[in-house]
Amino acid sequence: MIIKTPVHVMIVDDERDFVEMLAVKLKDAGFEVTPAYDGQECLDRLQANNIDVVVLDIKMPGLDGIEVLREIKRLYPILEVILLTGHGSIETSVRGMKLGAFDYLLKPADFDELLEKLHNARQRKEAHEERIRKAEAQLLLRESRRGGRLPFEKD
Amino acid sequence: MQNTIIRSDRKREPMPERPRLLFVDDNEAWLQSIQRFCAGRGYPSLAAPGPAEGLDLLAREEVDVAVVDMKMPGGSGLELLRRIKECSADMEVILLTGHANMTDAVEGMKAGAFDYLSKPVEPGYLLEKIRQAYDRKRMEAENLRQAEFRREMERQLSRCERLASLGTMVAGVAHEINNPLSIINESADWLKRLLAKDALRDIPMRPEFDRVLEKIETGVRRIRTITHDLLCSLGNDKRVIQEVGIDRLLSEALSAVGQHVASRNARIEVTGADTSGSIWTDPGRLRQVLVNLLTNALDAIESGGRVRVSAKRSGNGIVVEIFDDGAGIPKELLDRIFEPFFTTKTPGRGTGLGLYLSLRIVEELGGVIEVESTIGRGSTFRIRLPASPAGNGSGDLAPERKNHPLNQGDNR
Repeated sequence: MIIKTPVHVMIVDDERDFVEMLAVKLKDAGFEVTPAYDGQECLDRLQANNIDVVVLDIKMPGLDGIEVLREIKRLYPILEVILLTGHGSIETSVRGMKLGAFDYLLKPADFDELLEKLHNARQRKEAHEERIRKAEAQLLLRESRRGGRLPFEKD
Repeated sequence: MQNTIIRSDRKREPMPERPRLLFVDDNEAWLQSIQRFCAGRGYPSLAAPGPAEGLDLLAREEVDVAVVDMKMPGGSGLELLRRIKECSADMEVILLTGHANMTDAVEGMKAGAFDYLSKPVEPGYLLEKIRQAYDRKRMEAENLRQAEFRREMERQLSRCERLASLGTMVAGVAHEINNPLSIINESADWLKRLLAKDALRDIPMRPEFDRVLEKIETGVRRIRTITHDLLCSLGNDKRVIQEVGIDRLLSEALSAVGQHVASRNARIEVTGADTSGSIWTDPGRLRQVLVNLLTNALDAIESGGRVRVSAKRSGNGIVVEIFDDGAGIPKELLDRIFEPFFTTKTPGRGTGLGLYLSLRIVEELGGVIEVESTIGRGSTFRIRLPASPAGNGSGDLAPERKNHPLNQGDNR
C-alpha cells in the first residue's frame, strides 16, 4: 500500500507577491511549496529539497527561466518543469518544451489548469521513477544471478 | 503598414475640356449675339438678363466662368460677383462695363474678378479672356489636387510610423501589465477560495464579498484578453500555412458570427463569382481576420441592416469584400481605425484591437486591406491576398513550389 505524499512544488518567480499568493493557494490545495525568487536561488534550493515539480517563470533578471531549465534538466533529469510565461514568447515556450519542460502556462494562469498540470507532471515523474526502480531491480536481479553463477562458472 | 490604402469618398470630377459659361447682361441683343458667337466655336453657354436670374441659374447649373455686366437694372454686377465668390470661390468672373471707371475696376478686382473689360468688347477677345480665366481655374484645381495628394501621402506616412512605434510600445506595456495582473488574479482567486471554506460561509455581508470578487474577476479577464491578444499578435505565434478553400473559409467565418447576425437581425448576402478556388494561407489567422471584419460590420449596421460578403479571384490571389450599410466612417476617423486601442464601441464591447491585429495578420500573409466609406451609406473593407504568402515579395520561397506547407515557424 502506497501512502500518497503531497506533491512538492517549487515556485520560481521574481514577483514576490505572485509567488506568495500562488504558494498560499497551493498549500491550501494540499501541496507542499518551496518558493524561490530567482534562478540561482532555485538551483541552490533544489539540492536540499525533494522537489517534484518546478513552476518556473521564463522572464527573470539574472539567470532566465530557459537557462535555469537547461541546468535543472542537466542536474535532475526526471524533475518536471512547468514554464510560466507572461509574455507572448510562444517561441521561447517551444524552445522550453524542446529542452524538456513538461508544459507551459500563460500568465495570468487559471488555477485549476495549473492544478491539473501539476498533477499530470507529478504522475509522469512517478511513472518515470517507477521505470527507473524496475530497471534498477532488474539490474540487481541480473547481477545477483550472475553473482550466483560465478562460483558455478568457475567450476 | 505601407500597403494599407484608405479611401474615403472624396472623388473629384475631372474638369471638362471646355468651360461651362454664363453671361449676365440686361442687353438681350448682346446676349444673343455673344451666345451665338461662342456656340459657333464650340462653347455652349447659359444666359441671364439680370443678377437675380443669374443666381437662380447658378443654383441649378455648374458654371466655370461667368461674364457679368457691371450695370444692370436688377442690381449691380459687383454685387453679383461678391455673391458668386461667397458660394463658389473657384468660379472665375469677368466683369464688363459700359463706362469704365477706376473705382469700380479696383473694387471688382479686389472682389476677385478675373478681369475687367470695357464695352463694346470684341467677341473674339472676350472668348480669349474666357479661355485664360478657365486655364487659371484649372491650374488652381490642379494645384489643390496636388497639395491634397501630398498631404495625403504625408498623413499615410506618419500613420505608418505612428503604428509601428505604437506597436512596439503596446507590446512592452502589455507585458508589464501581465505581471501585476497575475498578482491581482491570484489574490482574488485566493479570497474566493477562502470564502468557500466552511468557517467563512456565514460571515456578515457575504453576498457583497461574492459580488465584488466577481467584478474583480471580470475585470481581470478583460485585461487578460487584451494583453494576450496583443502579445500573441507580435508575430511570435507559430504559423501554419496550408491550402484552404475560399468557400470553407467564408462559411466558417460566417458560422462563427451566426449568433451576432441573429442578434442584429441582419441580412447577410454572400455573393461570389468564383469561390471554388483555394489559396495557400494561414487559415486560422485569416479566419480571425474575417470574423473581426464581420463583427465590425455587424456592429456598424442598424438592427435589420445589410452586410454583403463577396469573394472573387484576382489574378492568382483573391479579393474578399465585406460591405455594411451602416453609418459610414467619418473621414477624420478613417486615419485612425487601424491604430491599436482605437475604438468607437462602448467599453467592454470592443478592445480597439480587431482592425489593428487584422491588418498585421493580412500584411504578414502578404496582402493588403483597403477601406472605402461613405457617410450615410456604409463601409467596405476589402482584403487582397496573394495565392500564397511567399508569392508576394518575401522572396525566399518560389511561388510555384506546390507541395509545401510553407512553415514560417522554422524559417525565422
